[in-house]
Amino acid sequence: METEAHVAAPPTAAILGPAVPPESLRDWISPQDAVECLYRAQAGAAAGAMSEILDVLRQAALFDGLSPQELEAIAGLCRPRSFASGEIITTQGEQGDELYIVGQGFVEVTLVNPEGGEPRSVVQLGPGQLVGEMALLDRGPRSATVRALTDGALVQTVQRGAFLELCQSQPHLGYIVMRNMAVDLAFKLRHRMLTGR
Amino acid sequence: MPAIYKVSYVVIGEEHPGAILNTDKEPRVNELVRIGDRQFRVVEVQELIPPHGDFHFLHASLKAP
Repeated sequence: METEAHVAAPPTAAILGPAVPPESLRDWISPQDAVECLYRAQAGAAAGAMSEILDVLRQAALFDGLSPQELEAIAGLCRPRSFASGEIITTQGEQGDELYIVGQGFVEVTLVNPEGGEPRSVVQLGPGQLVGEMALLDRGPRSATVRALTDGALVQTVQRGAFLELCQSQPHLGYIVMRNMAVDLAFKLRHRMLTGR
Repeated sequence: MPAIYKVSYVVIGEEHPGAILNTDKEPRVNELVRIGDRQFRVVEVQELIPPHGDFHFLHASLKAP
């Protein structure tokens, strides 16, 4: 584990030994300090990760209107996932219970061509955009296939169960997010009408 | 927080799916925009949905330069 590599285990004498350790042991970190360092490192890493997630969420219209505390509650549900270029995120027709928020890079949404042939690309989505919200809301199969267009495309994933539970337990948060999700779907529909695809 | 422009980019005159992305700068006519590995010129910008909170919802038509 990474943490084990950073904090050397002190010799037994440093744990059980005299109040003033012998000369050879003075350079060792005490067990208490080691534990504190470990906690600080873990807390620092967690705070950094949380800060990155919050940056992504602030760029997403889905969460516009939430208080900082509500945004942190959403961030607590997010799990980052990275995709290589061409890697599939969702597959049309399959069941899915995750919502995705694009954090970095681009993804492409494609639909199966009912007349056969190559799937049809309907839109490319950049940072701040949502993927998978339809299946999250209606529990139906995925409406499209989504793949990463760029290497290292980073998305934040949110599980449906935890997300809906949070929306239900915090009505203001739930109302704002559901309203914004409806706006997002309307925006995508308008885009699609304009492209004629 | 500074304004965020959520833009629906629609490419006219060719088969291209367009894109939806956020920018921190309002797109302007005649500006060049890069979508994936292609560059386009903005030929029209209009409000798609009234602004809400920090977000502006725009539509921009693009053409190959």
